[in-house]
Amino acid sequence: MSEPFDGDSMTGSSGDAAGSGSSGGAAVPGPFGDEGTSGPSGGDGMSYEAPDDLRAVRVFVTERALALGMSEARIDLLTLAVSELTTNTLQHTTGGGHIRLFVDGGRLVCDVVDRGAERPFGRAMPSAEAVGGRGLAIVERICDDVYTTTVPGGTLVRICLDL
Amino acid sequence: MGNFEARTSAGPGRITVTLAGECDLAAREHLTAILLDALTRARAVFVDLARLTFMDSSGVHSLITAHHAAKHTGAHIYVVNAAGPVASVLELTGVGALLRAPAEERRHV
Repeated sequence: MSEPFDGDSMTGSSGDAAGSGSSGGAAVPGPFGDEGTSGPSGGDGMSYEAPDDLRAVRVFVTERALALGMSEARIDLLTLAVSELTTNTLQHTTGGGHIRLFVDGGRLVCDVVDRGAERPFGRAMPSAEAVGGRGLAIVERICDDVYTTTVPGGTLVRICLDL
Repeated sequence: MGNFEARTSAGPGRITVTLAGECDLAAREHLTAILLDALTRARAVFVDLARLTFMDSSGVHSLITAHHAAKHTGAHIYVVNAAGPVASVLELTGVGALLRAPAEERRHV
């Protein structure tokens, strides 16, 4: 994907590999240590800590995904998945969380890091009559890949959607 | 605050709750309270989703909470006019089929 100017970032590059140098201005402030194993750094992240932040999270995800070349129909799915994961943070953990978006190998990747435990993926969609428990099942239905792993200070959930 | 809105209007034997904006965790308790209140006043509550631009499992939680309250008293709650991403969520979860209004009722909405 060719990357147009990224308005909220000092460094415009968030494509694969290129620009991995430390040209400054790349530190992402946030409550969590950056494990630094993958993805570019830059203005590609956002923190959230309250239900009233969720709408801003979706706006952020929409703008980033558009800039990264995703179609609007796919963005609707991406924002739903991210909304479910960030809601999950607010309902089941303390201290909020942080998201990051980037493109890797033709896929849009969103990392969600919070202080919660590893998420129990792999469960079926609850019945229509069930009051709750749908969030993670929705995420799994929508995304092309979902991973969860512990990272220093919490848990990372990584979702991938083909561009 | 978000941009979520809910407006209630009463007709003969029914209440229509018209939603607009985005329905997420920030709106959940508000929506649940409105739906439960409507169910105390009418045996049929229609939730019009035409102007709702986003809903996630938080909104589904409210709808199903109201659905169970309705079952308790012999009332019904129906969703109508879902489109786009809102319709996708209802389909993905099976809740759209569960809360679909009977055909003869849909014509009046």
